[in-house]
Amino acid sequence: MTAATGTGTLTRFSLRLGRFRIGTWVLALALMTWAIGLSLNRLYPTAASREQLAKLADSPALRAILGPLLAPTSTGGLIAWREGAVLAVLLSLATTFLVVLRTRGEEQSGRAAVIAACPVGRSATALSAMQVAAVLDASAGAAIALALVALSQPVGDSILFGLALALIAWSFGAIAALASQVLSSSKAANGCAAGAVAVSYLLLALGQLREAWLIWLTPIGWLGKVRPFFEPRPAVLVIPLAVGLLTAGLAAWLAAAREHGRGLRAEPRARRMRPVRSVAGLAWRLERVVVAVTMVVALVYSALVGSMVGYFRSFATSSPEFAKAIERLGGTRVLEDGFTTFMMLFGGIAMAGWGVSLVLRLHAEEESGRSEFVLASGATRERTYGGFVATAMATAVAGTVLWGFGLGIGRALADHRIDSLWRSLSAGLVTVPAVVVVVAAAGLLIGLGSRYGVLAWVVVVWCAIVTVLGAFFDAPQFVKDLSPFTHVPPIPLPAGAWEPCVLLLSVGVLLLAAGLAAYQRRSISGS
Amino acid sequence: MDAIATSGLTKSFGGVRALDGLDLVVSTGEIHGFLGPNGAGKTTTIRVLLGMVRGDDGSAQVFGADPWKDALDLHRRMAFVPGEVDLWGQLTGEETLDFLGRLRGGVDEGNQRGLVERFELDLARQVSTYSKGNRQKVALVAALASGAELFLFDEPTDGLDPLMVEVFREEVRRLRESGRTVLLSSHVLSEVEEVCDRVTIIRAGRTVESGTLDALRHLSRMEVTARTLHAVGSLAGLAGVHAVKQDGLSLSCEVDADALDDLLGRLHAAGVATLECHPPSLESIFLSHYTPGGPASR
Repeated sequence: MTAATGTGTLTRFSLRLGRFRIGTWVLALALMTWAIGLSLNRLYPTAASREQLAKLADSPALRAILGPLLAPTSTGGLIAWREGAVLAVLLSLATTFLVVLRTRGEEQSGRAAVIAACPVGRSATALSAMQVAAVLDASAGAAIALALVALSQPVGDSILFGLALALIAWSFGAIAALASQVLSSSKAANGCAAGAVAVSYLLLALGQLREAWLIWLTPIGWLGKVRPFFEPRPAVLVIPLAVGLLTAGLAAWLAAAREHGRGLRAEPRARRMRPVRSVAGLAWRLERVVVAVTMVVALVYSALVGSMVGYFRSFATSSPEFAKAIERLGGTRVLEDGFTTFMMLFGGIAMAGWGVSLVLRLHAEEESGRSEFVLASGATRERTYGGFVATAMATAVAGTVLWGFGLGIGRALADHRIDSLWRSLSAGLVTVPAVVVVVAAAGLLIGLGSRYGVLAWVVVVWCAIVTVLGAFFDAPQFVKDLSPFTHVPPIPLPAGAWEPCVLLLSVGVLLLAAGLAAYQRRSISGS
Repeated sequence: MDAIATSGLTKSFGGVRALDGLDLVVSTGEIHGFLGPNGAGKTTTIRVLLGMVRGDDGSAQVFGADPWKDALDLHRRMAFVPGEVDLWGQLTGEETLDFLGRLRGGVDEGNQRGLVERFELDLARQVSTYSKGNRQKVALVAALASGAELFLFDEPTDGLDPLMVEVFREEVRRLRESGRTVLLSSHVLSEVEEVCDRVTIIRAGRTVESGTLDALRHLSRMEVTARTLHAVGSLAGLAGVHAVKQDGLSLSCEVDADALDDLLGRLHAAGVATLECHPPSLESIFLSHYTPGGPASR
């Protein structure tokens, strides 16, 4: 097949380029699995405690969020139930980003032109990206299986779990390869592929909540259908394998049929737009389409999540036993508010991550030499720094408030109480200061030096670990306190809720002031 | 057989017509200059010849084959250096050359080492520390070491210092001696003038002139400066004589090639004291093709 000529050489090359990235992901996911297993063993050491957990897990609310807990007595079963979908999402995102980087990313940067002029088939790049994705997913699956075996889980089930994760993530990689052929920018292709992962996760949630058949439509849902550590159904894995192969085949076929450097759609004509008058205006012009799309997606997603919260009550009242059990826990309001707070923290971290990526735009501008150009054209340091950081901050803050609004709209639509809207919106507002601190930290890092900017991701990941996985690790309180999201007050807002908010905002302002001061004093690197 | 033959080639991108009936013929074994201002369609033409994009209308052939359908086979016989070379920052120059060589199924190592020396390329460094010129040199070495039959260079000396430009010209002459074909796109006229056998000039996606440098010069005006012994009378009315400036016995003018004899007759009759007659530089040919109202827009 001539369209595939050169695939092997390209794959070896991509593995050389991506070995650090792949190694990091594999190690991180395996360690995460192992650490979660250890803490689950500590939290539920006896068979009795696990039976009790199983009863709790059988409540409609938890079933809706985490799906059925099939094998409570095995640690592997607990991991698959509690973190299976999270592992699937993480590995899928790692795969889609890798695939887009090696296909549309190379092409957009112009590096691919040197390759395309060599005797290399037109589909070789897409096929090789799928091979590299297979290496990433297979290694991660094997490492996760090893971690499970290290937790003394049965070898067969461990391998099946790892294999299921690998195939699901690989099928998303194929979707990313397809998006890279159809769309002409890597940003759009990344957004499309990551969107597919998000939609899949959402469909799984909806399926667990109401329509069980939806679960079969979504790759992340297939993980639960394989049922490792319970009654394994390895045959289900044929589905992700077939979807992946077919999609990758379609991507390879499109790659052979389309022109280099272009998508399937003709380029739109450039429209006349308002002139860019300032650096902030430039930062906004560069990002506004992405901002608009992300805002709409965030609103829809948060409204859907919010509506799940709203259904808690109808579940709780569906049987007197549930009603009683929930009454003992403090009533549906407590559950709903607790879940809203948690989903708000999750949204806040996502928005903070987005804000960080926008601040890092300044890093890209600097490395490409564009900052030098802008500064030499008469823009002051304050304006250049302030323009990008302010745009990032405004976007992240607006996104956080919007997320709270979305949760509230969803909740209010489902439970018909306007009070639900205000409560969720207030949860969004009190999350803003924590988001400000994270984005400001990115601002400080980039102020200190362009290459320190990426460290801001460590801050985001740290917040995510402490908040999302915090329940599993009884880390000392001072460690948890290092994440600004730990200080976000829960709803309904207690008296004195404003104190941590003011404190966090002050920290954010200080970080930004320090960042600007550092940026004014350091040298700017060129291309 | 011609190495490259396009006729009436058109290509549009999103409503913008990049090529508008382009004719380009490059015979095997010749060094062909491909001239045009920015945005004239040089790069698009090369991308069509490489089978990266497909022409809308007209025909394009490389070694008699279809560059889109037979891209893979043709690429084994072609080498390409883009105008803007972007490479993988985390690799060293050595690793980059090794990779590009592998894609071609191996290159002549000795030849490549010689090129690296002549271009004074430090291969041990990471590509991210390379300047634009150094990245360009990596692409040039990879292409020149490939042993291809047809070389497409898209403004290859942008970013090279004058010494390296001379090394590049030397390499192009070497290619000519070994019978290779080169399409050299450029807006640097001296480069084309120095190494090319034939030239095609394009503007707005269309061929405006094509031929040997001598033939092109013939098409254009000679510049004449003279001093006569006696008054020569007004030359303004003489057919084929333009831009006349007369000051007493001194005069300068431009003259069409076929009117040169008449002009010299008039000067001779008045007695020639000094006479300078320049053939047109490629520069002036080029300008005349790009200046509205110049001879090319007749």
